[in-house]
Amino acid sequence: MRKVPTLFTKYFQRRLSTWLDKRVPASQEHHLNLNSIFILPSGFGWSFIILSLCLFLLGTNYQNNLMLLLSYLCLSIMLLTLFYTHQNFARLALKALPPTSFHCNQNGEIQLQVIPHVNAQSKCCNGTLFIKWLTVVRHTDTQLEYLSNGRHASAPQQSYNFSLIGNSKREQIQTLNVPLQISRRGQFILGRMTIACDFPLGLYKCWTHLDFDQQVVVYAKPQEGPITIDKLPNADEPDSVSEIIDPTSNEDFYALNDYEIGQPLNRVSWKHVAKNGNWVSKSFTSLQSDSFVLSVPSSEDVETAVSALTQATISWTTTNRVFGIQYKGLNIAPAQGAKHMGECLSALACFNDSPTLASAPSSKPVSISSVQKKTGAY
Amino acid sequence: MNSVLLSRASQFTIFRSVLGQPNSVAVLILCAAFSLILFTLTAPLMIWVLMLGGCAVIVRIAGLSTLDNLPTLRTVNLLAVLAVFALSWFGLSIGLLDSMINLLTVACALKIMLVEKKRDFHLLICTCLFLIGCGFISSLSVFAWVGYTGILTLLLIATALYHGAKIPIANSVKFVAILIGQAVPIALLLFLLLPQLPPLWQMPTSKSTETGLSDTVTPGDIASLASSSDLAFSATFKSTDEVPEAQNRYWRAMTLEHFDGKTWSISEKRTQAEQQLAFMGKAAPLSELAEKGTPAVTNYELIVEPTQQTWLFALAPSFPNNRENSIFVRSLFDYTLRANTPISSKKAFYLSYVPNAQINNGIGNFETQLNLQVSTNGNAEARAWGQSLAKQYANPDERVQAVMREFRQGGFRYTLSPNAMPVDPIDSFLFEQRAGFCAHYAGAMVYVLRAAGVPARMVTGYQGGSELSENVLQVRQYDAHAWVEAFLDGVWVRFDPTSMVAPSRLTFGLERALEELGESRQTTILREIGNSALFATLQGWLQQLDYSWSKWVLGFDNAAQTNMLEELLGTLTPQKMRIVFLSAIGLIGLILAMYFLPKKEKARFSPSHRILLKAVTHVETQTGIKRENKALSTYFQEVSSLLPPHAAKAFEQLCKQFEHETYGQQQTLGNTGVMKCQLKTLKQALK
Repeated sequence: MRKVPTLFTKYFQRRLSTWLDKRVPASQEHHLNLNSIFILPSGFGWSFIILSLCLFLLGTNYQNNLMLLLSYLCLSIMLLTLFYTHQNFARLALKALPPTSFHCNQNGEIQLQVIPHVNAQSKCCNGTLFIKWLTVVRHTDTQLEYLSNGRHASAPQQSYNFSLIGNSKREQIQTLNVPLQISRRGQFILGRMTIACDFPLGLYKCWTHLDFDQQVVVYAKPQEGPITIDKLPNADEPDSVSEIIDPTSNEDFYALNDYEIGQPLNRVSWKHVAKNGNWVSKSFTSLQSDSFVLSVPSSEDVETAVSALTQATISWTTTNRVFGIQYKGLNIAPAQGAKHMGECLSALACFNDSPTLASAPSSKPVSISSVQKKTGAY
Repeated sequence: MNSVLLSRASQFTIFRSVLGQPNSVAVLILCAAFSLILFTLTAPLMIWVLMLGGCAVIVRIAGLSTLDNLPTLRTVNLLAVLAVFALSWFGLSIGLLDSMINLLTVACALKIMLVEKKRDFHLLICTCLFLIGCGFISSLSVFAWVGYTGILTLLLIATALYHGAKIPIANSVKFVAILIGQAVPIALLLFLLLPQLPPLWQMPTSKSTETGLSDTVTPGDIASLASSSDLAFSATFKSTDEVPEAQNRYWRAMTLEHFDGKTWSISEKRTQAEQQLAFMGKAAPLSELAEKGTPAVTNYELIVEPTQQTWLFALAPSFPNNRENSIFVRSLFDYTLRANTPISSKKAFYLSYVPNAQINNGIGNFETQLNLQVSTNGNAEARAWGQSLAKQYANPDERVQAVMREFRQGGFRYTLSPNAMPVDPIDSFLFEQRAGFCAHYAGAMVYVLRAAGVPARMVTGYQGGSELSENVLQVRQYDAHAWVEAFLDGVWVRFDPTSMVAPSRLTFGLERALEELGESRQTTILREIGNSALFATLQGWLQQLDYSWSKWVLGFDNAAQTNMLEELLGTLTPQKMRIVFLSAIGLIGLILAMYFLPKKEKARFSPSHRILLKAVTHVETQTGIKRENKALSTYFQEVSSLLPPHAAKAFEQLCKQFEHETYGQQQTLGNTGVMKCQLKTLKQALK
C-alpha cells in the first residue's frame, strides 16, 4: 500500500527537478530574478487574509465602516508586502565556493558567499535566510538506483537559518556555511537547495531552488580494520641505489603538471615559465627506501576494507610515512604527503567493486594511472 | 554599596541585552500594544479579565530579562482551565458578544506569557488585530480610529522587528510608517469603490453598549438619561427653511400603551396584532402615505448613534426612504419606525417628514379599545378624578383641556429629582408631591384621560435639538422626553403636559428650563469650565469634526456611494459599474507601479559629462559613426571631416572644454554655461 504514494512522489520529484533544471539552470553563481523566485503567503499570511475577511464580515454585519476600513487596510498591507517581500528577495545573489571533501560520518559544509546583485548594486537583501537541501545529491542515472536504496534519500532535511548582515557594510562579504550530510562515500554532484526568506513581515514566503553546480567527494568512514602491510621490495629499483650519493635529494623528477595555486614555488619549472609563459610545476617521486603497500584481504566486506584503508591512510599520513594501497582493482603507488592522502582517500571513496557502476573521479590524478601501468608491468 | 552598584549595573546590562535582541523588543512592543488594547476595551471586558491581562503583560516583561522567571506550561494551562470556568460562569450574564471578546482577551493574555515559537507570535498578532476590530464595535469616534491605527502600527512594527533580523529598529519603524502610508490610499480606494453590502446575518449585540431610551418607562428612567449629554442623533435638512420650529421638534420613537399601575410599556396586544396584520399583507398607514406622494414633504437625514436597538426617532409623521437606507426601515401601525437590525454603528437614515399629515387610527377600533384600558391596580383617586371629569364635560376635548389647566394652575413644579413614589405613583404625584418631570406628567395625564373615557397613550422620544450649523440639529440624550397623544375626532393629537409646567423646556431646551427653575443638570465644576468661551469653541470644533466624521466616514453607505458615483458618472448602468470596478483595479495597479517600478537610476555623471554625452549622441546620429570606447580625440578626428565645419568647430570646443575640466590640473567647475552654449550651436549647425 505504501509503495504507490512513494512512486507518485518520486515521479513528481523527478518532474519537478527536470522543470527546475530548465527554469533555473545550474550555475556556480545565482542572481535571483523573476524566473527563479517563487512566492506564496506563509501560514501567518493566510491567517492574516482570513482575519481581514473576518473583519470584513464583522464590519458588514455590524454595518461598521471603521471595521471595513481596518479590513481594507489589512488587505492593502498584505498586497504591498507581496511586492516588498519579492523586491527584497530579488536583491539576493549567491556564489558557491567549491566544497571541501569530508568523511561520510562527519558533516561537510558548502560555503555560499552573499555577493552584490547585478541589478541592485546599492541595496542588498535583508532578513533571515532559511536554507534547506531539496535534494542533497543530484541523482544521475547510474547513482539513482544505488542511492534510492539508501535511507537518506527520502529523509527530511533540516533547515538552517542565516541572518543577513544587511547593507551597512558594503565591503564585508558574508559567507554562509551550509552543513551538508551525505552518509555514503563516493563522488557526488550536489543537488538543489531551497533558500527561503520571509522579510519584512513574515506574511509571505519567498523561496527559490538553486543548483550551485558543485561536486564533492565524500570519503569513507575511517575505521580500524584488518590491514596487511607489505614492504615494497626496493632492491629491484636500480635508480634508488645509484642516486643515494646525493642524500639531500631523495626524490626523482617524475612528471610535469599544471601549476596550481598553493604549490611551493621551488617546484615551479621556471624554464617553462620563461619560455612560453606556461606555469608548470615539477612533481617528483619519492624514492625513500622504506615504502609499504597497504592492503586488505579480499575476503573482507568492501565497506569494511575501504573504511580500514581510509583509517590507515589518515594515520600513516599523520606519521608522514610512505605508503601505497592495493585492494582488488585499486592500485596506488607509494608516496607521502597531504596531496597523496587526498588522492588515496578520493580513490577509496570512489572505489566500487562491481565494474558496471564504477565511477571514478573525473579529474583523476595523472600519477595514479601511470603508476598503475608501471605496477602492471612488473 | 558596591553590591548595589553591581546590581544596578547588572540590571542595566540585562536591559541592554534585552534591547539588543530584536525578538525581545518585538515582544515588548507587542505587550505594549496589547495593554493599550486592554485599556480601550474596559467597557466589554470583565474586571478579572483586565487584571489577568495586566498581570500577563507584567510577567512577560519581567520574564524578558531572565528566562526562568516565566511561568511554566503547566501553570498557564491551569490558569486557562480556571479562566474557561469563570468565562462560562459569567458568560451567561454578559451576553454572547461580550463573552467572545472576553474569551479572546483571555486567550491572548495566556499566550503572551508563553511566546516561544514563531507560531505563538503570529497567533498573538492576529488575535490583537481582531481585538482592534472588536474595539470598533463600541468606539467609533475619530480619536478611536486614530488610536487603533496607532496600535495597528505598533503591531506591525513588532512583526517587522521579529522578522527583520539585524535590521536597526529605526529602519523597521520607518518601513512600517511608509508601508501604512502607502496602504492608506489603496484602502481608501477599496472603501470608496467596493460595494457596501447590507448585513448578511444578525449579529449578537453588546449589552454593555445599549444606550438611549428603553422600551419601558417607570418614572425615573428618563431622569437618568437627562444626566447624559451624549449625542443621540443628528438630523440634517436640505435647507435652513426646512428646519422645524423649536416647539415642533418632537422626535417620536415609541408609543407606550400598556400600564400596570407602575410601569408603561409597549402593549403586547399591539405587537401581536401588528404581526397578524403584517402576515395578512396589510400595508402600514405610513407606507400608504409614502405611496400617495404628498407634495409638502421635507426630506432629512438622521445620523443615529449606535443604540444596539431597533427603534428609530422621527418627526411625526415621517416615512422612510428605503431606497437609500442601508438598513431597511419598517413603519408600524402606530406611525413609529423600526430598523430591521439593531443599530450597532453610526448609521444614516433617510426620512421624509410630512408636516400636514395626521396620525390616524392605524388598526381602527382596536387601537381605541386598547387605549381606553385603565389599570385598576391602585391609583384610585386619579381614576375617580377622571370619572368626575367625564361627568363634568361631555366633549372629550374639554376633558383634555381641563387636565392641562389643572397642571398649569394646580401648583405643579418641574424637577429632575422628585421624591420616590413607590406606592400608587400617579395618586401620590397628582395629589401629594405635585413635582416631577415629563414622564410623571405624561403618565398621570394618560391615566386620567383613560379614566375619563378619552383614548390616550404615552409617547416617548426626544424633544428639541441644538443647531450645530444652520441646517443640522443635534439631539442629545438629555433631550429625551415623554408626552401624550389623545384620540380626538378620529385623529391622534399631541399634548405635552410638561409645557404647562415648564414652557421653556420646549422652546429653549432642558438646560434653560432647569436654569429658570433653579436646578442644574450637572452638579460638578465641569459646568463652570463648560461655560468658558475657549472651551465652548473647542467643543464646537469637536462637535463639527464628529459630525463630519459621522456623515462622511461612518455614514458612508450604499446610498452615499451611489450618490458619489452618480455625481461623477451620471446615471449608473451595469456597464458603467463594470468600468468602475475595472478602473479601480487599474488604479490600484497604477499605485503599485508607482511604488515599486524600479526608478531610473540617475546617471552619476558630472554636468559637463552629461552635456558631452548629449553632443556625442547628436554627432552619432548625424554621422552614423558610433563612438563606443574610442578616446574622445580619436573619435573627433574620425568624425570631424563628416561634420559641417561650423558643427565640427563647436564639437571640438566642447571636447577641449570637457578634457580641460575633467583632466585639467586646477578644478575649474561652473563652466557648464560655456559648454551649454556650444551644445546649442552644435545642435543648430547639425539641423
